[in-house]
Amino acid sequence: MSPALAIAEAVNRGTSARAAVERALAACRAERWNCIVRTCEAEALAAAEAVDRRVRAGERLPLAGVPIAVKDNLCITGLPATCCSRMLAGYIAPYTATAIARLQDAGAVVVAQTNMDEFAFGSSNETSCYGPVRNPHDPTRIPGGSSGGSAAAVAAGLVPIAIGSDTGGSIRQPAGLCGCFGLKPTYGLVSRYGLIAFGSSLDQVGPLAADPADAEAALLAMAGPDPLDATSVAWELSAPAASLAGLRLGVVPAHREGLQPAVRAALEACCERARAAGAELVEVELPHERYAVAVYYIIGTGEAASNLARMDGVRFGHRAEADDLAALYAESRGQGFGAEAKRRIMLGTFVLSTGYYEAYYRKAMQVRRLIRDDFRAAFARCAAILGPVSPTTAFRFGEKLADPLQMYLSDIFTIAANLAGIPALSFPCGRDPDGLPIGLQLSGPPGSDRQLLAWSRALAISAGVPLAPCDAAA
Amino acid sequence: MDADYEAVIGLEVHCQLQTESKLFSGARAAFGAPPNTLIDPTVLGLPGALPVVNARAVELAVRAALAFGGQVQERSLFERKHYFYPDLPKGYQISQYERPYCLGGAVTIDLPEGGTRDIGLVRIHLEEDAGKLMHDERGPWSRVDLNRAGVPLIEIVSQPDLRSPAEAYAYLWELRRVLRWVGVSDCEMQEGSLRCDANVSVRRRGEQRLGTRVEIKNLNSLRHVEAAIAYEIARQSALCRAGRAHEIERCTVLWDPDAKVTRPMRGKEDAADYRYFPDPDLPPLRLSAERIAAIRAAMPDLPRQRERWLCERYGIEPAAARELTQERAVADFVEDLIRRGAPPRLAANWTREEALRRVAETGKPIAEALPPALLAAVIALVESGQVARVVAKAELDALLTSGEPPAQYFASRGMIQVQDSAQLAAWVAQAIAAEPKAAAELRAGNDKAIGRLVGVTMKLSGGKAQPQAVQAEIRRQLGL
Repeated sequence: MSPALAIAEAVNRGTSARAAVERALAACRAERWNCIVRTCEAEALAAAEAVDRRVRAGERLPLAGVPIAVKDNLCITGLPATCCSRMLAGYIAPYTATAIARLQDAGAVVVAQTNMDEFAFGSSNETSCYGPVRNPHDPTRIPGGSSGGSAAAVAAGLVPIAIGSDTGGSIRQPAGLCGCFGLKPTYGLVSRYGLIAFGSSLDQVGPLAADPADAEAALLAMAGPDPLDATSVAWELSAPAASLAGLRLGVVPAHREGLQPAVRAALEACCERARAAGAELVEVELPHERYAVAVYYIIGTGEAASNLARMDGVRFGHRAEADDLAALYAESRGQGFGAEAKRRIMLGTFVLSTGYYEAYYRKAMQVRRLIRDDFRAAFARCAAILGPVSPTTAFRFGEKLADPLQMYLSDIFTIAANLAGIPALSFPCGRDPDGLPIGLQLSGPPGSDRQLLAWSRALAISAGVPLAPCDAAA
Repeated sequence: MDADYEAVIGLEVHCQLQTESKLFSGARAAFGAPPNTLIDPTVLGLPGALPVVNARAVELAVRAALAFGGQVQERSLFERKHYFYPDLPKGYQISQYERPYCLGGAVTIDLPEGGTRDIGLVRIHLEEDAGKLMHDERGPWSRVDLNRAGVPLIEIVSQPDLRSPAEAYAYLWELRRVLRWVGVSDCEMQEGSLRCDANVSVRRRGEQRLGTRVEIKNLNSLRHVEAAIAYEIARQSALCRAGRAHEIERCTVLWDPDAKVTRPMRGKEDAADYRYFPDPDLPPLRLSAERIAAIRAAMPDLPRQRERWLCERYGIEPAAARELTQERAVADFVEDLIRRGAPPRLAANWTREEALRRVAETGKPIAEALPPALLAAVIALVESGQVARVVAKAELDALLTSGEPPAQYFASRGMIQVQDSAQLAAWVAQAIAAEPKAAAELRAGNDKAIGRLVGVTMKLSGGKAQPQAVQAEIRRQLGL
């Protein structure tokens, strides 16, 4: 049985939730990768007791007593929510994000908040005001980002499930570089209420876990329409087929280009094993995907610049001493935001400006539609697309920080799913010669989230990842 | 306005929709609450909070559109309008820009010179209100009150079809009458639930091109709108006449109601770039034909229709009909009186003279300020001659507080007029005997002399005689 579900099973049978929660708290306090920005001891112990009471009262909770870590951009009543930015220093959330409230309702206990790139702007977790996160597989390397803290916390075994957010790959890329499962759900499947917005039309909250069954349990707890999020949608998530036999698995020839040899080899080996397991490999084209990075950095920065306008030092967060209103804004934001946040605010402000809106934002929205249509056409020919998560395994600190364009290109394979609103996940599938995890990506049509998790389990097992077979997990 | 120049005026009206809650959240919308009490994470623009559109606000907005005959759009967009100001919590206002929910429509106004004209509407769009900034006199501080932030507004933009301050007044008067009538807004300019900006330019008569327009803000009442536009027209046409038309700058001015002048707003107007783009938190607003039809079906008639109905069906004077159709409750009240048997003109008069005064004094709804059943009974007593009109009016407040049925009230206080003709004849005979000179004058054709005789008779009767009956009896006894 998967780690989280094993805890829930025991707690539902009467074992106190306290032991698992205390174990996770201790691990989070002692961690050496800087993946935790704060633990919430008192709240977690009180929550564990509440779970025990509910179980004693006869409730059976799908995530009873499961300790989880939550990215620092999801609001939880009474806890700081800083997005790892000075701009939100001292801000305490007065309400809980719907996704987290639903996990808590399912019995999960938040034990810690995880490090991230500032406002989720980054692919290496180097832009956090709390300092970079180290990759548990090699502390001289980045864990990926922006949900680097969540991925590292799962990879280091601090918690069985961590929650992240994914705007252009921020769950999948760190999950891949840290060797765990990470799902970006279908857009609208999980409420964004209480997720501090980066790109509203791209953001999704999703789970990271060592076992896809745990990720699935977290997804099912979080999913469902929310009257507080007008973009949330009801999806029927039917129970998935476990077998790869008969699966029409799409591969995009262009995705083989520019990969680190080990990543390319892992992808080809995975395809071979899938074929051996009875899947039919289908070549599909995504002709407009090559514009995805450009489109993403127009739409994403435009929305981010707008979403961050509320960080003005007037009502909450960092506030500079200033003599007049204009200076209050300029100084507060100038001091509060880091370099990458400023870069994206300026880019986003530019693409929405009169005279440039038509040339950039509107055109990007048109190309976005073409990318979505490409996927629709592809999924008429295959049930899922298999490809790389990122071109390389985890790189070293500072390697790409000075070159934003190189950094942006590390999301080249993940961005299209956000633009198209489709579900996509990263699963561990081997290691490179340095022993670093290689992640591969599986994406599918809207609503196929559970099915993707089931197939990814089979593919990971075939690659030697130590997981119980699908049927046993269910 | 002189013969050489004409004014071209367009109005932009912001109107608060009378909803229970705000446009994009469940926080309560109300006027006059203690500062920063009508708030929630969405109103405050807290990180992570999201907007969800208020269906009731959309319904009221559609009502307004239908009342003015606008074309409600099947699909419209909410967009973000960005600027930094402390009363704007998110750093942007959610508004509609490229695709408003309503295009076209018109407001039919009564022209000062008689007749009517349709003033075209460019568009109506939905948006959220901002909060309020209060500059503190005591220190270098401003205080922010976000109670108003997020309150639903519609902005109604007219075509530049108005030609005089009086027409602008008539336009706003009619706009307000319609919006109140259909229950969209209470349109209280003092409370800011109706706000108006005026765009004014002048041009030589016959000229097709528009002159440079000046936008006037801070117009807090209908009279201010009228006065400010008149001032601005006079200022601009004086400059034109003096050959200094080029000195008219495209700018925004504030009306100073004390000095009765417009003044340029401080600072040069920036070429603001609001960086509009469709709000990714809100799907397009879709209004199906079925939904629009349902909203239309639930709408009342319109004040102009009712006004005509009161004139044509009941013979009520046009001016009275106009006054009585300022509020639907008032018009309904009059018709209620008529249904209860009151003659239409009397119903109209009593409503205007008594009911509306009590509404103004108490602020209560009209039917509470003066219950129509009670007023109808009073009108019947006066109409049948049992109670004198002056007595009824003087006693109305006491009657209301007594809680007694009107007939019993007047009877128990000896206020029922005497109908007995023998008694009346005796009083009149006594009066003629007491005033032979007046009687002689009246006989000689001096009609005014009758007043003296009526007065004496009334005195003899202790006020219980009915004046008309007294007059008739005097004439009868004198053989006139």
